[in-house]
Amino acid sequence: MVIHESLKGALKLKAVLLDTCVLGTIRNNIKNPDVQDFLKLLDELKCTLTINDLIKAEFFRDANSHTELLERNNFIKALCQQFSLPFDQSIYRSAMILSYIYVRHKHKGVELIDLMTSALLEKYANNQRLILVTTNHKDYPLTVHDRIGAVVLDLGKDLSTLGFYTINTNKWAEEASELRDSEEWQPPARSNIPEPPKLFG
Amino acid sequence: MAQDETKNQNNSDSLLDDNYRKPGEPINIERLIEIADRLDILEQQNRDNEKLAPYGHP
Repeated sequence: MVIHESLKGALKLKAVLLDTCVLGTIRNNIKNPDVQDFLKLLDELKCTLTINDLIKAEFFRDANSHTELLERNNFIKALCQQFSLPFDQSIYRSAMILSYIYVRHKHKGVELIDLMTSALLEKYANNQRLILVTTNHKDYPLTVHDRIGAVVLDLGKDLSTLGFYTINTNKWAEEASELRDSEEWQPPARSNIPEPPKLFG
Repeated sequence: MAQDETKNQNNSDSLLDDNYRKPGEPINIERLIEIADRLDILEQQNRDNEKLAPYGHP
């Protein structure tokens, strides 16, 4: 496993949000030397590994018994540290705005959970202290995200490319502004039809 | 009693947000391997059960 020095510097002392795909990669390949080296490196860099409630739910989703559910939870507790990233109304709203930004850019097929995760990154974007790691790069387009680095894990039969993403708040604000000012998103002229809830507050 | 203590050290019977790795506590890879091995066994049992009763739990 090779990691660029600049990425090491960017990760130091940061909270690293593990996407479900990364949780699965770690769980399925925990005996792999590259995966172990990756975890040791995150330890050395004093990163706080965390997930959010939706990622946790996605990791629990296919459990087939209570015992399996508990073991999956044990895995998360052994890997992650408790770090509260609550979803509130502002995150739902940001996720919806982001979905409309993606439509304008024809980024299709991004799931709600990924929109919510991006909105969470945006909420905690101050000083880029929260960094997402994922293997699903198309779900985090560079329209509003910055990819600050990548690491390739050699899993034997396969290679896994981990991408590290933050929100670019300038790009996000610019895109939201263009959306708000676009012809398509102007409120309709007053009529008897009830108006939808205001999107931009 | 001794059995219970061992169980508490190795396993949690709760989905509550307790017993997470503490700040500064290194990742215990051996523990992750133990849990992953137990999950592998459970998932294999599930696959075996599905072969026996494909429409639900036997």
